[in-house]
Amino acid sequence: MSLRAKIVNKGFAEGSLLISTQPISFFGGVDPSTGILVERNHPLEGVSVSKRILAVPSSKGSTVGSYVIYGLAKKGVAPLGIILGQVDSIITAGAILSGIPTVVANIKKLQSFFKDGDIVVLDAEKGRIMRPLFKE
Amino acid sequence: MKKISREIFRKILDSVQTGRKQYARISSAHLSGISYLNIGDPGLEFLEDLSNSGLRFKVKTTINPGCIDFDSAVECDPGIVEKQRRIVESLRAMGAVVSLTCTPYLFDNPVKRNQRVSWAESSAVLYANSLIGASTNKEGSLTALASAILGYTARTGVHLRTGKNPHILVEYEGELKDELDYGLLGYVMGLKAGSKIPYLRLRNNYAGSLSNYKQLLASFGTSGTAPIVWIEKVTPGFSKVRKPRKKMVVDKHELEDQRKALSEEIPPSPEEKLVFVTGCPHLSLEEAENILTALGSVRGLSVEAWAFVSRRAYLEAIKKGLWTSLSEKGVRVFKDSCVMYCKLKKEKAYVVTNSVKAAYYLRGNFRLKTVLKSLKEVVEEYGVK
Repeated sequence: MSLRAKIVNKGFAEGSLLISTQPISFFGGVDPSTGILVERNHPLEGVSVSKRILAVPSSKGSTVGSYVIYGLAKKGVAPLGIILGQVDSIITAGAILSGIPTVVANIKKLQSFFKDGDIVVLDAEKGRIMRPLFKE
Repeated sequence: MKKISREIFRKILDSVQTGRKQYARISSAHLSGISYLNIGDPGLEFLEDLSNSGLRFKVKTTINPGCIDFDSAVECDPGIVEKQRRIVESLRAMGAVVSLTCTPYLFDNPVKRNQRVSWAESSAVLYANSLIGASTNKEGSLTALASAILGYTARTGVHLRTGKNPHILVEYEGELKDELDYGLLGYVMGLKAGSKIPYLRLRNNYAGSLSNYKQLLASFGTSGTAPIVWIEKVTPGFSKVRKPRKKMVVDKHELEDQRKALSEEIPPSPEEKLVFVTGCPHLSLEEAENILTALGSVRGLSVEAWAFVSRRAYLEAIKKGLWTSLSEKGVRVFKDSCVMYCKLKKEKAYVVTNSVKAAYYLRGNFRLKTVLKSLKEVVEEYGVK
């Protein structure tokens, strides 16, 4: 059982799913040294995107967000993979600069398949999201 | 993490295209995202890594303004000055012309009709397409950077055969008495046109100078998304382009509404000082001369006056003695930075400006109180006899 997704940046990632129902502003909204969301009253305020498979409807705010994602990746605290709700140039550029596997998928559908914290495999080579074949 | 490579930049260009990936060769690039106040530490870090990666620009590449004037850096926080300098040095090492201007078309990166280029900076894009007849999309900071490195850009938008065709006829019948009216018209057109390319017909063609159209296009670029405005009798090739059937009329009152929306009421004796800011986009020599002419009848202004120009225009105008004359009238001239100047950010002031674009960004990004006035109005109100 897998969910189809459109490939934005190729690659392969496995990790714990983090679902944001609201757009994220990487510039200003995310601590650039830790990956923790710092935007006031954001549903994920205080939660870190580091080493998660981040599902997010889109970005918002400054285009400098692309550079912030790059900076997170350099420090090893970027998301392992990104699932976008729609095509988004800020996150896409950041993901390409950082080599983060990224796809576009229907977030509502994603939520009916998986819940926050589930271990998922993001296959951005074939364009699908699924559960790992083998559980550790 | 993978090393920064040409491959990454090709992927950046591919990411803005759906379907088959196609490219267009370009003869120059112009980069945005240069100011430290804009890109901050994340941008600085990336540009330094990029510069250290060994990649170099393949075509002539100019850069947007930063946030300091290198000749009067003492006005700004030393930390900011140092980081702005590092950004510029990274780009210089990659082969950029250190133009630090939003008006590359004036001196630093002249573009000719029918040339394809890859420019970020919306006001320069609108100018190049609408007044010169060149072709560039409104590139983002990263796609412009990618095409500077690769020598080509994505073949989309204006690079396609029908990509420049206008979609909507815009008619304006009201009066356009000064550069501010032209700016407001451009701003209203941008708000109303959505992503459609407008074909503008001015019923009463008043003082249609390049300076006025420069203001119209800069403010259109602020509120609108299209990369070109066809201006009847002005844009190269306007007679051959097919006129759109769909029509939209802009009314004089709509200009007045936007002027109010971007202007504060100044109280009779305000606590804050007033600063007249001009040169957004950077002044052309014609505009600098207009300021001097307008100030001809007065000794100076009772408010501070700051003018922003490119270093190249500054040097050109020295030959004409322009700046000496302007500084005698009390106008301070800044180079290398735009109105998003480090010191202005910290000022508690009313910013009076004749640029709609400046008002929009100074309100939005610097949280300053702005007031729109034309050059003529400024001299009438604040001129000292």
